[in-house]
Amino acid sequence: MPDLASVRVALEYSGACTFTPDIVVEQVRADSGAGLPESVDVDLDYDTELWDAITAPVRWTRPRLVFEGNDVILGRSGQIQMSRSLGGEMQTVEYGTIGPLWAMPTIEPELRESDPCPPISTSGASGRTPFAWGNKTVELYLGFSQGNGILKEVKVFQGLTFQKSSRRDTGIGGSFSAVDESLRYAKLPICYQLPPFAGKRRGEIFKDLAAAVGIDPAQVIVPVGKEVTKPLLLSNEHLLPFLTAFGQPENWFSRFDEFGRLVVEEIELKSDPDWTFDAARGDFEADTFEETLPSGPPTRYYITATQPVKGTGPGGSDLDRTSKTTESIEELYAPRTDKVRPSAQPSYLYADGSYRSLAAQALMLVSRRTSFATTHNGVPVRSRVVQEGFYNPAAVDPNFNASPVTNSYDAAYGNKTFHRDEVEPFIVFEEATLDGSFDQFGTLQRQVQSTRGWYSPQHALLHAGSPQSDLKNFPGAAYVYPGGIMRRDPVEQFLETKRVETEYTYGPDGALLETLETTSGWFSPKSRADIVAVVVNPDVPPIPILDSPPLPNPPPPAPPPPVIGPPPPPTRTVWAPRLLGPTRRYRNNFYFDLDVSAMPRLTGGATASFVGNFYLTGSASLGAHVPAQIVFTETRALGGGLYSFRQRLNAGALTVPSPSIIQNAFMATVNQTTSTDPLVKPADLEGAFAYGVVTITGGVDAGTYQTPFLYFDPWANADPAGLMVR
Amino acid sequence: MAATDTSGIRHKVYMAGRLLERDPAPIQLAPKRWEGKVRLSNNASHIDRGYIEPFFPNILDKVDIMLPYSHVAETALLEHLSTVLAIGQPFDVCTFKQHKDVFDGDGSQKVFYLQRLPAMPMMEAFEPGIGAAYAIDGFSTRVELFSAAYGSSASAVTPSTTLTVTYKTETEIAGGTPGAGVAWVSSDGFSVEGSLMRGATIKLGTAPANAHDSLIVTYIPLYRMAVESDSGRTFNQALQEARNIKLSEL
Repeated sequence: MPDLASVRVALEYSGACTFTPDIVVEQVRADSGAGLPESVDVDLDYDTELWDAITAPVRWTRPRLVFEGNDVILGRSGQIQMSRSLGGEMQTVEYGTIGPLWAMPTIEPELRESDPCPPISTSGASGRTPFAWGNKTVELYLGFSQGNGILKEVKVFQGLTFQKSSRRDTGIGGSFSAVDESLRYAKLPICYQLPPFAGKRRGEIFKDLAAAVGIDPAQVIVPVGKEVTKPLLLSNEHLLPFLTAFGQPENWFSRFDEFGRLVVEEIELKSDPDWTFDAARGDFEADTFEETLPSGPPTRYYITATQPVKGTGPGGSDLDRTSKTTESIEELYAPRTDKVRPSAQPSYLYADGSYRSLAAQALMLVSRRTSFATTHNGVPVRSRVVQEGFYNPAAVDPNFNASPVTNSYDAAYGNKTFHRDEVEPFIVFEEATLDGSFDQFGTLQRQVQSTRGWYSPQHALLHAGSPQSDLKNFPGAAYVYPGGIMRRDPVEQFLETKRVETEYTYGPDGALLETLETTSGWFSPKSRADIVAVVVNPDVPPIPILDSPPLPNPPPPAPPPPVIGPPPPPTRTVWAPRLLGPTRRYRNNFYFDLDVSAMPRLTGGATASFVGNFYLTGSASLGAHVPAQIVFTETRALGGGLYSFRQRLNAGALTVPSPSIIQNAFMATVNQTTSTDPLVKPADLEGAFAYGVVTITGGVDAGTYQTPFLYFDPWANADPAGLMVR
Repeated sequence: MAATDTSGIRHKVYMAGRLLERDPAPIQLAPKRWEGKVRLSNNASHIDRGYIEPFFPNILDKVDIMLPYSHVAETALLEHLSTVLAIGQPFDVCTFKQHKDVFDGDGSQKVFYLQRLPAMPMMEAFEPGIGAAYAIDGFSTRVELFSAAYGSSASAVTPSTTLTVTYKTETEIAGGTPGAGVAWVSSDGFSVEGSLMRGATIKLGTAPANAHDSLIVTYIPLYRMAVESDSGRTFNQALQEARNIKLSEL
């Protein structure tokens, strides 16, 4: 709390009237001494009379500006505006004058005429004092009165004039700004000079600079610092901004503490960058208040980080700067596996038909992209992007090792594709590099864009014999990949898949004359083919090779038709079984009929084996049966007609009873085996579907035939309680 | 001496050294009070009034005067109006309409400051005998003391003391002391700091009571004016000319 003093105020007017009102004005005086003006924190508790005057319904008010200890005549200050920052840490006062700019009105005429204030006046000059020059103390009081000539004042501002001048409309008015101590630290101009190798340490220089704005060196808490050998020449710098920059080489951070001391601390650089949230990618910060809740828990996490890395090359060059950015994505995932794993580890069949290594998805790192950007002397010269993720290089289909081909897909994915590993690994799957070559002036001369990835070049088809009806693997030469494509390698290699080289040619005047772009990739020029088509099966149309156009040679002339032709050879029947149902239902037993009524002839002692598949997906109340697939096989000679298969699904382990032939129909059963089993409700069976597979071996109709999926409505005939009706 | 305020303007308006041959109709005086009202968050209101120095009038204002002539036929009047519009210095205007300055007393203070110069001493010199001739019209200056704040009670609307007014120069007022029951009123006024502010001192032989609004001075003020605006000229008919002048008090 500043000192209070009672003073008698004499107001002297230069006109014919001179009066000395016999009143007492209580005012808060500034702290004496050469110290810095303090910020004013208005506290009205000490003076109830002042408080009453402020809160009176009718009150008389008056501001009073004190400049360098002298009252500014009321009416000479123009409009006064005081601004205070939030929290009251910084205050400014602005006011204008109506006199000549430098003739700061004061009640002391001699002060107007003398010129005690450097630096603008030359020796011996007098007249217009530079009283309004910067760094002069300014105080602002607000006066309140309830009448009776008693004015109560409170000081609301104490600061220094800030170096500023402006012109009013009339050209002779002046405008002044005063600031309190906090702005003084930030805005007060400092001039300082230090020769090179002056022997001063950084901490000493901090104290010198602080002293330049009147801060006691004892109030400056600063580390010793290293010796500064470079010269220092400051002209109208500001304290805190300069200290911030000057302290950076030693990671110093300057601030004023609550006791007004200048505290300089060494801060530690963070080794790990901060997380970067990107709302556009669905990130959200858990601490952020959202009016609407997210629809579900987060399943993907993006983790992005950027950190500088050292220059490349031995020792690293200061000119070369490389920044590394890593972007990671985590989400719920289960790696794909082969159906039957060589390691005998389990593989789990998912509803999408894929086999996975985990029984349930887990939150894991699924993608990571690392970008390296290199600049040479500020010019971007190289960028490299490495992408990692779950990828299993494609591999040869071993079924083509035999002739005729076999059909075991145990070591393949659910979609019958073969891969290098039994479980897809987290590996680099793509690397893209962009290199630029520049001349000494930084002009781009050549640019090379290279992409590497997993690939095996295509190879010509190789056949087991003639006619070319049977593709076959030829180890060491070519391999058949899924889809019937023949490739060079048994598994994909990580190699350069594409390369784009661009060269720029400039004329003598620097104008771009020519751009030569060369794109390289794996390619084989088209050629005349000796083989028109590959016949995989005589019953299906031949597969044209490379979509080649019809051969230019005309087809050979057709032989003349015989008079009496031989009987037509047996041909494959266009036939497909159908699954009907549920045709009946008892409790939770569903009866499906496999309609093989259009069964082709089973000739030559052919037998048909039946593979029944019954898929169920539903809610968790089915427990271990979700998702469930029931597979059973039955082989018997068939003569056509309706066949039935039966399957029982219960809450315990799956039981696969032998299918029974009941009236030539298959029956699928979902029921309870014991009274403690949970009731199977229609909701549990939503989405369930069934299908049947018939495999015929031997005869002209040998092959595998699959029925379309049959989705059924478990709610049909359900009782109101949602239980299966009997 | 008239005991009451009088209604209406009862004399030709004085403007810049001349009594206007004919007043316009209407003459408008628009006082602008130096105060502001602030509505507070609890539905209460503050009225903030400017404070210059102690023992100035409680209500300070400035006056705008509108002189709308629909036709100025008199050559001398037209000449005068045109000249006033063109001069650079402020000039005095007297509308011969009373004005009241009200003060708070503290029981001992005897020197107060009118916010304008009383016009009658100057008008007396300009038109000798005007004071006596128009005494019935309330042109005289009155200084009245009240025992309590005016309006605070039934008895406080009647002055307890009416002082005898004597005009003195500021120098005379500063150098002397009026006797009991006498009020010295400045006849030449004072100005402050290059004529930025003009007022007139009154010194009383009897101090007003220690109460709000306990001293009321009624006088014909002399406004120090300047032309703020001059309307455009529209000549609708031959030989006719309208003037619409707005004056602003300094």
